[in-house]
Amino acid sequence: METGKESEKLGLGIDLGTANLLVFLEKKGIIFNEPSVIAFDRESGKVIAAGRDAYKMVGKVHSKISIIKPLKDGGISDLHAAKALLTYVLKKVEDLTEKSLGRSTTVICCPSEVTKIEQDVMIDLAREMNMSDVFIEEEIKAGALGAGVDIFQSKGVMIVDIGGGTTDVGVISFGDIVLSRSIRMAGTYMTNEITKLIKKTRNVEIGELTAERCKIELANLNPNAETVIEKFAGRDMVKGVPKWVDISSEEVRKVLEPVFEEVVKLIAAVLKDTSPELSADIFRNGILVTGGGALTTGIEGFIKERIQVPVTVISNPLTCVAEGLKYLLKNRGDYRVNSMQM
Amino acid sequence: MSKKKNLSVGVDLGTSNLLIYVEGQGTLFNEPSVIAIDKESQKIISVGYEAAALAGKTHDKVEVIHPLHGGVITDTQRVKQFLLFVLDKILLSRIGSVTRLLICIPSEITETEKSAILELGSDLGIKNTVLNEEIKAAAVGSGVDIFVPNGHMVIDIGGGTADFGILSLGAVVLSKSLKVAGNFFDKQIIDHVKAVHKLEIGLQTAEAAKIKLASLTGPLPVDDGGATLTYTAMGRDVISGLPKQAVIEAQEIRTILLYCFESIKSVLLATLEATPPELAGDIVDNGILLSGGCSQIRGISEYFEAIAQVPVTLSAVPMTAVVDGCKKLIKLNGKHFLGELK
Amino acid sequence: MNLKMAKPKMDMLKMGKPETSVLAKTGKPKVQPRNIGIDLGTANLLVYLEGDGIVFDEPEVIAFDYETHEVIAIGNSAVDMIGRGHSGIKIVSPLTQGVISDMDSAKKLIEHALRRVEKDSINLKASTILICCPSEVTNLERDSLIGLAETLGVKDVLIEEEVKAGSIGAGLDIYSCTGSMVVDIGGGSTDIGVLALGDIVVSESIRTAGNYIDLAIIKYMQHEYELLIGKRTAERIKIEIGTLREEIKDEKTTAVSGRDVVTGLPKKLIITESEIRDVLLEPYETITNTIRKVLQNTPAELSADIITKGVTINGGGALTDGIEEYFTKHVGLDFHVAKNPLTAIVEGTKILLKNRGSYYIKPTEIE
Repeated sequence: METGKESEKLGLGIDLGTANLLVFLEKKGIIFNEPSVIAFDRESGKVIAAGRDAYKMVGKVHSKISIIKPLKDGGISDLHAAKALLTYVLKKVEDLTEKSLGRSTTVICCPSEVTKIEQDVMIDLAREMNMSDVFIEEEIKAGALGAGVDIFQSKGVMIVDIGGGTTDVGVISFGDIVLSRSIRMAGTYMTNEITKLIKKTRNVEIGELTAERCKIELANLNPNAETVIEKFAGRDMVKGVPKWVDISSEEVRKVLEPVFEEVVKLIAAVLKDTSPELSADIFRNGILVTGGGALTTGIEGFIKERIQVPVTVISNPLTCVAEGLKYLLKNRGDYRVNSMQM
Repeated sequence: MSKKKNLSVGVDLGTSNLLIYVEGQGTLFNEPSVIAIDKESQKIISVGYEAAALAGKTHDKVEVIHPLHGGVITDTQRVKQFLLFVLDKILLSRIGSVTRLLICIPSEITETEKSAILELGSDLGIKNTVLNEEIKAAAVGSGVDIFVPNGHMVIDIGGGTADFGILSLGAVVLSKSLKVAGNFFDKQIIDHVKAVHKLEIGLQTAEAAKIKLASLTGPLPVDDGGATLTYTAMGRDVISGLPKQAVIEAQEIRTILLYCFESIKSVLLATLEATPPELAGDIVDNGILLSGGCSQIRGISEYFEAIAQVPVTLSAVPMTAVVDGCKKLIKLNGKHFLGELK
Repeated sequence: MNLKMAKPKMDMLKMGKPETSVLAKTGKPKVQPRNIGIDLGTANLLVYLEGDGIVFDEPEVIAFDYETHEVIAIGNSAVDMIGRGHSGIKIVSPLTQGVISDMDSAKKLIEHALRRVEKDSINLKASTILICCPSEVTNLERDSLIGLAETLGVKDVLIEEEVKAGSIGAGLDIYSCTGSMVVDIGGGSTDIGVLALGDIVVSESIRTAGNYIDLAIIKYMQHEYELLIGKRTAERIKIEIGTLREEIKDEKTTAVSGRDVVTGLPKKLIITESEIRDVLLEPYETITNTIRKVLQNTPAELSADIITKGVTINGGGALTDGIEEYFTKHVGLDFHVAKNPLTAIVEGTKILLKNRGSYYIKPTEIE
């Protein structure tokens, strides 16, 4: 690492989330934080919209538009679309051309437990974009840093990142990950469960955006919470006509509980494999919950009840990974360099 | 008199009467369609009234011909001869200055007959010969505006034929013709008088009886005193051959006419049945117009009204409707479908 | 179900043909290219001319002299001739069920319609023309529309679906990501469409429309009253007393003239609103079923938009008394009649001419 040259190079951090794409640019901060969706004109192949604008189109397009979510289960499922999305974002927001990317250092986040192939695809993506200097880091590491945790201490920290495609659980100490595990049950899975529920119990099909909205508005893991009922619109599957359905927070809780139970199981499994010293740290300091799922009402109580360890939802669960990339860029992920003190 | 160039001439080739109209000069000929020919030279000796008076009263050397017998042209050569003779007489060798000839023809006329008549025009050296159905001329002459998208029906019962026409947009939509008319009635009267009164009478006598006594419906015609009219017919005893007379009652004429009108009734109904529904609808409001000599028969409007169930009006100019129509139609240069005549 | 937009081809006109600027008046210095929008409806022809607005709005009928092929009348003056013509006149409705059945007549009709604009003459060769067609036309039919423009002498041709133009003209923002649904009940076809993001997502077209209803009325009069009536009369009845209301207060009536089937005689009758209502029920049931079919194929997210926004009714059929209540009841959504159901399509062409039918260029961004 040549400190002199580094300051001339662009530092770029990319959180390729299944649900949201965040891009961090050194010296500027988070320059992009929008859904990982891209819309193409089918005939010409041109990009019509990306991010929030493209997200609004989901479930509403005509045959001339093709909507793609290039990331699935935490990994890149459509390389071309992922590249187009990233290129679009970088060009539009910062006017970063291939030339400038050639002079960049880029860190890309991936979920824990990705296969080698999945990692290679990420490197391919970077190469295609002419990023010469690329390295990959686990999201939970960045997340912990972004949450303000000084991971460079020899003190065990447990992070639970409930994202869109994956839920990652990891223990970090002395600047790096001690162990980490991942399951593919997360935000998207929960949204689908809600859609399935409404189909089964009401014979009504609701759109993705509607299901997502329902999840965000009604999810409450607290069994004693007052039941809230809200109206959502979808399509009657028998008659075909549009229909309103009343969905209660109670039903949503019943659907989400099993998923969160799995998360708890995952936490328990990681804890089981954690060394006694680190377990003690975790027992003392508690678990940090990040990611979109951390915003679920009542999640602290839910996990605490089952794991009997203090649980804290960090203050910036949606952006901590991107913010953490700042530090990773500074030390290139090297545990020996405490980038928090730089 | 200055030599008038570009004369237009209208001809009503009626079975009973020939009428010729010259633009700017009025109806210059209106006499029976009869010619008397010298058999040897085959030249015309007299025409019109003069020739008609000779009917049944000449010797072998002279032949009295009705060249327009039965409503169709039986002998085109004779008709040509007839016309030339008359035109010569009235135009005084100014045939050369006739540029337009409009000939009114009966409705049911074959293509061959049509071409023969058109040839007549060219044979006469007239450049522009146009044919029009009599029924159309009768409508126009009676003041009906046929140049609109509105259906009108006209019944013209003359000497040789009864014509039925549906007119719209300046032309005949459909027309039918029946050779049951004035002449036929006369013949029926002759037969009846022969059979019942044992008296042989001539056509002129029959016609006179018809004119005095004819009625179809309503009370029988009465004289000033209130007594039913009668006609004393003079003729020849069937058996003895001696001059005799007989009194004909109005009722007898009515019975004969009603019998004759049965076929007229059938054709009327057939015409209505074939009328396109939109025009039939118009006729409900516009009613039927009656023209021709026989329209003078008492009670004829009521008779037709009872059959057709629509109002029936009499033409103001039943005897000259066709030639009056010619006058107006002559002014039209080319076809007219919409818009009033000037 | 969506159409490819016609790309203007610049070499279509045969070179060497004399300049056929139909309306070039000698001596007039100004000959300008213009944007022309055409709603080639089965019942009515509407022509929009940029700068002048709607210059023609009359029935799609043209009458020729049978022998000389000269044009005698077009539009309003020609439509009354239907059912009243004779062998000397050829009355043509160049569109049947939404497609061109007589190209030459269609061309002459449009030419004469354009001729009515007295002002500047139009340089057709350099103009742009946008023609609307029903949904579900075949490629052949769409090509015939391009062919029509060619015979008019216009090189730059755009073809758009009526449902799209109609919804824009009715004031719906189809460019947003909130879906809109439109039911266009025209003369030859009823088009139903769901639109979002500037284009059609789902659409369906059926022949049950104005003309079908006129025929149903004719059949009814024949069976019930043994009275044969003409098309113009049937249409008049439909317009005067046609209704879809369940409950009819102060029943309207109208006089109907035609020809008795049995006697052959002209006849006049009085018929009532409720009779015609009953005749309308069957075709409107078919339309309702098609609306349900389209809804069934609509993505759930757009269904959600439609239940909130409601459905817009366009076309001549939108003027039927009681139509909003009828559809609202039978489909279960809020139906509203557009402000301008008869001219919506041609007004939409005005906007589509600006952005050339592109779905991602909002017309407002071009002003």
